[in-house]
Amino acid sequence: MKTKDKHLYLGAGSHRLKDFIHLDIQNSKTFKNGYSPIDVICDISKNIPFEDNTISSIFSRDTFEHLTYIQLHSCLNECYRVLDKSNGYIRFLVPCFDQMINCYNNKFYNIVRDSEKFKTTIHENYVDEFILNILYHDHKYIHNKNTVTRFLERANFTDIKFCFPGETSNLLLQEQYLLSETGRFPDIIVEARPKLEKIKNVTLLQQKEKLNFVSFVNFLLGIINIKISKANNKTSVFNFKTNFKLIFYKLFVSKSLKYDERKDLKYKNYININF
Amino acid sequence: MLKENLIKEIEDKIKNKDFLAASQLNYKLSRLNPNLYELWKFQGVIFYQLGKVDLAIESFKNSINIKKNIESYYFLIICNICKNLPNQVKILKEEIKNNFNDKEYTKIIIKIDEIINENKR
Repeated sequence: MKTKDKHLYLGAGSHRLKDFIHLDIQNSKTFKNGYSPIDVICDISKNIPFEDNTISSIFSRDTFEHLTYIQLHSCLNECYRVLDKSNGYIRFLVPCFDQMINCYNNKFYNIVRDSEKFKTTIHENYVDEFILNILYHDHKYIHNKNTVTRFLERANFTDIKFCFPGETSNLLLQEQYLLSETGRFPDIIVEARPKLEKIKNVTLLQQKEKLNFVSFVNFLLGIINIKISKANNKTSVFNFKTNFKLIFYKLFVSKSLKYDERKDLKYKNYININF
Repeated sequence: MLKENLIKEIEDKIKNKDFLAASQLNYKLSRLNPNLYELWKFQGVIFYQLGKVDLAIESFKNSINIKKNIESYYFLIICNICKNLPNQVKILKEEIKNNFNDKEYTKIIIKIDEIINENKR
């Protein structure tokens, strides 16, 4: 392997890959029990602290589903920025909604999940399995091949390929990928390359979101929610979190929503009359 | 590809120690049906061969949950011997006794005891 090659592992948690730089928002709780600490602590949805065109590859496993729609857009833009445009690539795994449905239809129940992790939730059969797959560990978005393709295209990635475990263009990392990916049946594995030239089509969405009052309220709630999540060990926070958000929406945001609805109705009437 | 053909092909790949191909075909099999005894049994074998014993144990537990086959019990016991968990081995032996006939039980226990004794030496 060339010494100048830099490989990033986004959202590494307690998993380690050889010759990779591990990034996460915090050190894993298991770090004290012998795992090495995270190399770079940062919020990948805001900034990946590396210079443009300096990274050979980016890997991520079961992380992107923890980002909201806007956060993932921002993260993939950052990935595009840091990746070497001539040889770089991104490879990641996310749970696949289609496969979740497949599991549900075939009544698959993962008995191994019957562990400490799920002591605060019900996990008795394939129905619980399906629900847990969606809500597990604070998932913010559910993906399938369609969503992943659109996300990547909007962030200027091309040659999007859905792979089998260990199937990669980089044979030097094949074994590590195989070990990290084998047996992860609910996931889809994607590899894509950045386009040589960036087309401006994604920043508009983010700018709109930045100026929006709702996003500002969401941001404030996010800060509070992080604390709530931590206090609850990041499990079973769904109800409390949702209710919390709903109260704020009702208090501050519902008026503006009503206004929009009225505007829509006016528009419809206008068309009817003139037609 | 038909499920049966796929299963046969994975078996061949595992026999030939081509775990990359076996893993990829197994992933393909999971898309047909994730609730297959063979899928989890193969995955357990792949994990074990790749040195991930904890994950192999999880896979064999899933395979037993789908179908109580003595083969998976046997694999699971081997994994637990590897991890040096004699209590788990004892529990699994009890389970075999309760779920299988005396002939099968005796045969598998003799085989397991032989392995344990070999390791002691």
